[in-house]
Amino acid sequence: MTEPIAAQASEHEHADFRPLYYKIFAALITLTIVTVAVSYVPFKEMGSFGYPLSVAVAFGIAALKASMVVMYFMHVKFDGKEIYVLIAVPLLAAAMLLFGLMPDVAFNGW
Amino acid sequence: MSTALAAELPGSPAVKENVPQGKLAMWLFLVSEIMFFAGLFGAYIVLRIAHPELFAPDYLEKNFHKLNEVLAGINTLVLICSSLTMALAVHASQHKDDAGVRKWMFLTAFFGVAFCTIKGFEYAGKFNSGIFPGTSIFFSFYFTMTGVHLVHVIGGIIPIAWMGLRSSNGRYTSNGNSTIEYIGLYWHFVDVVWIFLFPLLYLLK
Repeated sequence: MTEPIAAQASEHEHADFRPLYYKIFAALITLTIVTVAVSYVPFKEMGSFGYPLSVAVAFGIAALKASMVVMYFMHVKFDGKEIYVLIAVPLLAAAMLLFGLMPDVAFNGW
Repeated sequence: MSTALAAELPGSPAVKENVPQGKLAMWLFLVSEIMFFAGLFGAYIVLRIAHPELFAPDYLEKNFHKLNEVLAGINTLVLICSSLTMALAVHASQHKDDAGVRKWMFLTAFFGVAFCTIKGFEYAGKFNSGIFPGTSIFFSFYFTMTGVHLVHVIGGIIPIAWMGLRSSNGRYTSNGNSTIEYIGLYWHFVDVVWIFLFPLLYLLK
């Protein structure tokens, strides 16, 4: 009874992902350097939107790095679509949390 | 169990399983973790944009102490290295390589311990300068977010080192055993949290 599962599991695990892992590793190191470099950009001199912009840029690069880890190291890209649905729900909830609290910040005192 | 009965039961091998149970369980746990950290990050980002003056470097420097970007940067690289070794441990476990699993799991645990050690020096620097979680709202966020993350790192090192120790005779490498893959998912998630913590906490000016 366990045989079909075992056969199923070994079927898609033959591939050698190591070259891909090394590429992702190099990309993550590079993006970390970019993250540090971007922190020296004088966003504050760009007016009132400079500050939120600096938060958005820092968050954006982090999101790119995170998606690389999730897609390739965590194999979501090669797994079933079910995992996408599973991740999408809390991301949507997290976005609601953040943007639900934003209006006061966005419209008052600026 | 007879084949006829097995074929009728949902979840039995006759029904195609897209996501193995263990993987589904780990992802459900990680999804709850996403919400946990989203609450912290959400509150921090909103407060930071609403009150930039509380987080301005000159304000922090004058009143307290700046965060140590260099130590945090090194820790970022350490965690990325540990994610690579974890991925290689999973690869070894899928290719019947007991020694490989042991080697890469030990290396992953080593990077984890290095992260904690560096973090320890960072905390010690703060305490020596008289900075504690109650010092300001910024440091409340700093200690809560990095502290909770540190607990996750320690919670990962223990099973990773334990599994490295026990990797022999195909315990984690025989067909269908995905334990290493599941603990790997958790470890990569801990890396992902730090990927957001580093720029948002340490680098924003």
